Amino acid sequence: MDQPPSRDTLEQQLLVAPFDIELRLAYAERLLDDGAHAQALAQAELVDRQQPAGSLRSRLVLARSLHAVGRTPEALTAYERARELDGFEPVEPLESLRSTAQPTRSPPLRLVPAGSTGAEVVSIAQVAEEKVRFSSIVGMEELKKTIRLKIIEPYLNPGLFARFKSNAGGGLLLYGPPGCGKTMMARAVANECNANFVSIGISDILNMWLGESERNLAAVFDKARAQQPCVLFFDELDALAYSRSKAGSSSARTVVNEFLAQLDGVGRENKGVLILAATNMPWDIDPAMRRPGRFSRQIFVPPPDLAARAAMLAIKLTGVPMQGVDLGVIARATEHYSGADMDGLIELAKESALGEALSTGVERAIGGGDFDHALRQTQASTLDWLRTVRNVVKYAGDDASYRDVEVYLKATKLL
Amino acid sequence: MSADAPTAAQRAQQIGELVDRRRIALARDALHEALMSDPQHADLLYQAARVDALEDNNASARESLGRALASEPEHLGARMLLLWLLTDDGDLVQAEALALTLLREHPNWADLYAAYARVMLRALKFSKARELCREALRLDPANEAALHTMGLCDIIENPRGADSAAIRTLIAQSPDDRYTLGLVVAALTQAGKTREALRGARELLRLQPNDPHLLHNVRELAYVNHWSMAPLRPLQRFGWSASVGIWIGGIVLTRVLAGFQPGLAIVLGWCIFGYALYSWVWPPLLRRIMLRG
Repeated sequence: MDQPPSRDTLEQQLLVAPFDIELRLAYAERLLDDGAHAQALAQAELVDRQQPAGSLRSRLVLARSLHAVGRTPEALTAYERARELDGFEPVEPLESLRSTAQPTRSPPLRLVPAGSTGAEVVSIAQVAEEKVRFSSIVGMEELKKTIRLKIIEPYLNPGLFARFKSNAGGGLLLYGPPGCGKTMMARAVANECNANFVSIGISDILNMWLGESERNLAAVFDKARAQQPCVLFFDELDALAYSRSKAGSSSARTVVNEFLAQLDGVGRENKGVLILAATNMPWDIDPAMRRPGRFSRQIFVPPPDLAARAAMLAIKLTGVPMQGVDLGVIARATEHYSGADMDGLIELAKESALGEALSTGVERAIGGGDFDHALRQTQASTLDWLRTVRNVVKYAGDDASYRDVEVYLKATKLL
Repeated sequence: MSADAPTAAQRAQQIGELVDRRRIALARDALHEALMSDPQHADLLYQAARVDALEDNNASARESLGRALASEPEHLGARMLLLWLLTDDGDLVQAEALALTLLREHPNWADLYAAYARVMLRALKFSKARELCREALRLDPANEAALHTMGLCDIIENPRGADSAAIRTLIAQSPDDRYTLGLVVAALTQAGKTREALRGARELLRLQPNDPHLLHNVRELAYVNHWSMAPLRPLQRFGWSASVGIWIGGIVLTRVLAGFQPGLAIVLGWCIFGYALYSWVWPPLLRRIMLRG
């Protein structure tokens, strides 16, 4: 009978062919057999990233590895994914675990005695005061339509989507250049869903005390579960879920582990919580965050389109004295401008008119020349971001995560 | 100050968390505020240096470290970062002196041997770098900094990309780490396996799309792997020896053929001449086109 290849042989082969999935799986299985569970999990997770669709073998290896390191809820999720595939045969320790598994519960909220040190009560941004709805967001009709179909309707009509066997679970990641309305869009989603809105930033979670950041995160999820229907929104997700392979400190890694556990917990025990997140740097987010049931759906929030820019100008210049200004021309000249850039442009045009009025003593309305002057002094702040993503789209091979950006870059001739 | 207000050390720790997650703007704001009340606090100045170092502003980082060490000369983090920056800036004599001082104080610290090995690698003293790495790995067999340096030594000293035990250990230990992937790409490139290297480089670029060096590397490898470069693979793979071999082989074959098939010899001669012309003209042209982006 053939001897299975040794670890040493497999490592040598992997050095020469690092993208051979079957070889890496064989190596992971070998590590599992040898009791090197953490190393096996690292290999299985890498395969999962290299081959997101996953084969039966890769899903089972991932499930076995997760089980071996004691991450049982995640092991069960991976095992369930394996069960969906043809040719599945039960794997004993996981099969019996599955039949006896109970939904996990996150740590309960703790009472912190007044004046105690070593713990801080987490402050959570309150529910939206103003009712931002999709109708309040100008332009971006395609994006709103996509979000309505992918997020709002499945949330409001789960039965309809279940009948069509449409997969409506998991969170939504909004990504795009800064200042283009990701947070506003999330707020509008909450209101369109008639749900409470809990917005979380990095300062709400990170704490100087060891272990407190994880507890803060758990408390946030508990609060969202208690307030359902609720939209839980994580701003700057890349800060909280910073890629573990890039993170220098162990605390950054433990926060991500806790985040993953909480996301998996919500998926099983609370359907009334919709999780949204926004980021400017999707490449910094831990790849495990993008697995099914977590942030598997990603939507690109582009800079405002022509109609949106024209509408923004019309709204922001309402009641401002103007003469000979063609807003359509300005809207066309501000391609790739973010909402914040548009604000800056308008302010510069106003300053130009006011400056002249103050120096000459003659008051006049804002003219086309003021906008020309402002346009010469500004440029779209989104271009840096778009060029960075262009590197991925153009040079980093086929990456489905950025397909929306690719369409945008082609449409705007940046690619 | 209220009783619950964080101390400067606690604030520095919190800022360190932000720096770990590359929240540079937030960290700068927090540092600005914290340094207003504790301008000479060593931990805060150390974090300020980390922020500057991450933004490649080594001069400013060294200045902050100087201030940190003035107020707390034994600050270990600050001295380790200074060692790193001195190595980066090529001040290798100072770096070595600092490494030796630190080693006298902490003779059993694996990271320190790895950092010293990096200084030696930078000074192209490979055997000493290897010895230091071995010592670091004796103290901590999983020390990634030592494995990285050892892997780099292997790549530099074995131009054909010979098997590296250090890289294999890293593949086993942290396969998705970007430094590991970087080493694998370098090893594959050295071994002439440019197709696999391109795949790895693309993977790296996906992790860090804003890194100009990675982008350049991907473009270089894409150029090498371009379909129109396929006929030149032997030259790429074996360099001058392939070139000399093709010329000598071509001349001998043409001479032999000329004796009994003069027509074929002329065709072969033109083919060799065309191939040579192609190998001289096309690669720089293609490279220019592809690197222009």
